[in-house]
Amino acid sequence: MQVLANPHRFFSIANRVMPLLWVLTAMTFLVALYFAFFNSPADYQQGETVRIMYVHVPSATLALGIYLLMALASVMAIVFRHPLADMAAKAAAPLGAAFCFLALVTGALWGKPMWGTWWVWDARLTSMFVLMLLYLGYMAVWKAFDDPSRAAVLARVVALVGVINVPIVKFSVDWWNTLHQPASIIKASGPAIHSTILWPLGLMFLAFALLFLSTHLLGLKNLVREQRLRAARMKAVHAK
Amino acid sequence: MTAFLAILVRDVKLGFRQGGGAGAAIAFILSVLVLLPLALGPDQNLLQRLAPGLMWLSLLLAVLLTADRLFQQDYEDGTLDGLVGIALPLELVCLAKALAHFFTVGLPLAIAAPLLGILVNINAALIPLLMAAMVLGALALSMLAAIGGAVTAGLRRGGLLVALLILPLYVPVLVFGQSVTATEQGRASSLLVLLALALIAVAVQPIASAAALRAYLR
Amino acid sequence: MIDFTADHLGFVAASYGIVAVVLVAVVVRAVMKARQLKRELSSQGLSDPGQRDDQS
Repeated sequence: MQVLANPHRFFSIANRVMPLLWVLTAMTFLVALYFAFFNSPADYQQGETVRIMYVHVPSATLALGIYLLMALASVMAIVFRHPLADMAAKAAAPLGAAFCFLALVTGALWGKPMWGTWWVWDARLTSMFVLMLLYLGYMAVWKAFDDPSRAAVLARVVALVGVINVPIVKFSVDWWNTLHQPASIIKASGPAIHSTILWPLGLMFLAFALLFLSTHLLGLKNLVREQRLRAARMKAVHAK
Repeated sequence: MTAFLAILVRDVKLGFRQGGGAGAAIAFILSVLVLLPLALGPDQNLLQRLAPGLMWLSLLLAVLLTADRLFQQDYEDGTLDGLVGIALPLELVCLAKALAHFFTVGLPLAIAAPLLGILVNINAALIPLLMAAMVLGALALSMLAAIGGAVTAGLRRGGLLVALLILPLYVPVLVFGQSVTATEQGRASSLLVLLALALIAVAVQPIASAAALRAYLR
Repeated sequence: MIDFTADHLGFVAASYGIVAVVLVAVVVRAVMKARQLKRELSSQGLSDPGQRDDQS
């Protein structure tokens, strides 16, 4: 925590770690892809489409996890007034939205051959859709205001109200589904996960998480750069 | 307490006087109810199935359309700065204003809509139930609208942003609202959950709205 | 080992394709932005975050 408290020290460490992180990300992706395509069996029910799972599940997990991270950063911003906390949340949002989008699209591509439809209003799909809306709303707040300190406060409110909403939505659509007896074939448990599936899934998840980490650090750094340019511009205006 | 009531009464009066409140909301649902049978065809069975959902959608849209005005006017003309100076915490000011929105938009609609449902052949036995559910739902929706309205108080064209912000928050209310009249089983529990949602919204709204408004008042 | 003659292979290819496109786009965008901002910073004589002589 102490290290993170000083932005300068944070970035001098981050700068040293980042090249390593990119290399690690690329290598993990290569290994994960090898496992996903060449070192894992086709599912006896789903055939080769089971391989979509290896990108779908990590995307969905990260989409949810990144939103929680955003909310956590917002809490940090309120409680500790940490200078980087708001920026960490802001930098995470477009990445979370990208993973959310991928989860929705790969889910549809998996659903079509397996259930015969691109989309059902199932609990998990609806939750993911609502999560996408939450991401878009959060990013829109940052876009809508010129004054970053005002936008930061409003964005915190939006992130925290959203994070209360996520479990409520999940609960309500679960309920809704049990009432309507959906025709969908999705089961809460799914097929038991076999170790031959676990390896490519775990590796791919690691690769996705590493990619998020490196891109997030870079995005955070970009936001600090933008802030510096902005501060310099303000100074120039006031000096005139 | 008197200050709280004063704000509430003022806003309710303003809401009715400006024509943005109950009158507009009921005119809105009437136009939906008249246009829909014309758009879908006069199939009585189809209309009966759709009726409760229509009511919920009208309520939701009416609340959505008025959300961005909730704090905007008071922010622009400086009333909000004045309201901060008084003894009342900003949280309670927000609660009073959200309640006023409920009384002028949500409540009239929640009472009128099920009755107007006769125009779309609503199942008469469902009217009291739907009314109770819609009153609870409207309370929750007004609270959530107030959060969105507070976040966008300083935006000239906050309408679209407000819609994007509160739409995901409306999902649970809509889900439980429609399940009250959709099936026999789970009717009472749906109502109870709706009540719980309304209470959560009442508890969260003042804190969230006040936090958002403080960003404007500094 | 993947069977290249199996059914629905198009769906698998499309999934991995779109994932690749989106993830590459996300990374490239951040890198491009970093380059541009770095240029702007140095053109104004400002230091980059975490640079050795960075004072702020």
